[in-house]
Amino acid sequence: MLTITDLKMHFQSKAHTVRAVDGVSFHINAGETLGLVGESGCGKSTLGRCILRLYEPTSGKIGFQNQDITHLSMHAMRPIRRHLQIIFQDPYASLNPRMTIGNIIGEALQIHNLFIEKKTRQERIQELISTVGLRPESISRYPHEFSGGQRQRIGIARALAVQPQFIVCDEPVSALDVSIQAQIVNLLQDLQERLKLTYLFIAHDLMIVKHISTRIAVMYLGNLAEIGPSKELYEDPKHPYTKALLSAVPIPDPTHPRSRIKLTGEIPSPINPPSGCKFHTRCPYVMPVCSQIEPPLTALGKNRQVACHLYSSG
Amino acid sequence: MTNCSVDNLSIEFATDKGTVRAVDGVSFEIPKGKTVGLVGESGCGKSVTALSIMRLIPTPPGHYAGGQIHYQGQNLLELPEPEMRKLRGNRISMIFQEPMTSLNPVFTIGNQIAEAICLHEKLNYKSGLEKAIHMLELVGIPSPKDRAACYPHQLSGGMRQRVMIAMALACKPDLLIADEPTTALDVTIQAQIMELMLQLQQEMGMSILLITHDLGVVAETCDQVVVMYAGRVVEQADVQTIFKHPKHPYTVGLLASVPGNLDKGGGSGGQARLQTIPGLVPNLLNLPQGCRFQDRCSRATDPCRQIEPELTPVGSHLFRCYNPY
Repeated sequence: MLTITDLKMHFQSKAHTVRAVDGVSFHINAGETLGLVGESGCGKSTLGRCILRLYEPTSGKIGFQNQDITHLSMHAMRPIRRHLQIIFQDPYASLNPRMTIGNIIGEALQIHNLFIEKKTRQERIQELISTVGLRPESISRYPHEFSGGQRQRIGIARALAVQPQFIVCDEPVSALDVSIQAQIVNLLQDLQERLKLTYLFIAHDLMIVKHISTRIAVMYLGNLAEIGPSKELYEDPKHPYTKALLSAVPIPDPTHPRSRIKLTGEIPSPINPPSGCKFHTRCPYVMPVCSQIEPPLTALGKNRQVACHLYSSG
Repeated sequence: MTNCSVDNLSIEFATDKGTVRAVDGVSFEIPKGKTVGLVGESGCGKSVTALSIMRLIPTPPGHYAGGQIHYQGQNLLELPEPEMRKLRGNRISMIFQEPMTSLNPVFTIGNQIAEAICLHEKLNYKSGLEKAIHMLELVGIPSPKDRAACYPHQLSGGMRQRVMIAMALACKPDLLIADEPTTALDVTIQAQIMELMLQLQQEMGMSILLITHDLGVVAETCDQVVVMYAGRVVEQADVQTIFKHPKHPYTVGLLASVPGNLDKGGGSGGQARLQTIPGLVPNLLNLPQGCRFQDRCSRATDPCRQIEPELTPVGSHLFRCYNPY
């Protein structure tokens, strides 16, 4: 469905270059959910936006359904955008407060010239509103009249309006309460089954990512640390960063034994990333080679890949 | 031994549409040296309860409608403001959720921490600043001397939260109120901060009131748990009991809606569904008659729709439900 190859996104300012995404490659199969996790500032949202060409990547390739879309013009991109949609993190900032829900959803249809006739367009909007579980009268209301969870449903309806095949979910539930999170996650799963959607699910909540994803990619400072099927990755993490990340997740069970791998320090700056393996400054298993050579993403077994010197020799 | 107790506290806010009772008859105790978790969804009144212990509710529009907050034998709600000021930031202090908005952007962090120390300990600025640097060291900030001269925007989110902790602990409080102290942080940093708080708790013997909606954090850090819903305490017990034998359907629903244990289940690529609590939190301006949770509850019966259940104790376990699990 989607392939990205050695994608780089560098932001240039007067004095610095921020290497937000620094050579990431992976593919997403049709109908699956790829979870993308990592700490804030690791480049996961930037990557999501590059895929939609909301940012112009510095180098690398983005292929969607066997077509290279990296350098398509805005005009040529438009029909493809119909198939690539995004759900944003902040349900408060991503809806125009001066538009009714009907107009917000209808705008997408208008831009792509779908359901041109007024009556059919209204029907389509109503259908979308009920698909995401909102009341029919919502169509003439404004965003401020809705709660966070309901707004996120509106964001989902807007993304679904143009019948996309691929949706980037950029932290869709992190702004919501626990019980509402579960409602939205279930809705996303139901829609995926019904409409045969493919998701790139970006989040920092590892429990939710594990729940919803088929495969998971772990990012650290602009690079992939590890990628693999979610069950295997959680049960047997290979990369030291994945191990530390998983062990830091608090478990809602007071009797559960804790064995935490402590990471000291914070994520280094992407302006001036460490040499070699970017994780070597915080890694508990650091070796001399780590600060010199950047480990490539190498296959480990059938469908797992890891970028770490611990596994590259054997 | 009890350090602080909240007794039948009610807090109202005047709004354009009428008076809202954000906290309604809430009681709990914070034992000395222990951590109490206050859990609930947005708008359930947990932050208002916390702010009221610090007497930081703006009045008006807020109004203490009843109840008492006892701290070491005195009722904080009746304390004159100058007396309260002596306690605030000194014996009782607070860590706020947003480290960016609760630090002053135009002062260096050393200056901000020293301010509290100088005020409460009658020190001159120089020794206040020295102590501030020592606090920064204590919370694990590398090269604290240089950092003390930094402004908040020069620090990362995790660092800023450490600064907030350093500030809150500067006068060695014996009651620390932490309002979602790690919500804005990454898990690895969250683990560092929680560990730091618990370590300092052991060293200083302080009590902590931890407000959070992250049940994982509660399980790992709290001794007692108070669950709030729509301004009411709905369940209260020690942490083991809450997680192993929850009684109130809301608590049960809350626990079930968290994606399962990392070790088992999940990862099915979207087959399994999470359990949810249907519907939304009721509007505090228009509460239903009877139990406040009835509309979202699978166990609701006729009595639930008529008279609100009392908070009933079974041993040390309290819950507000006619049809408990």
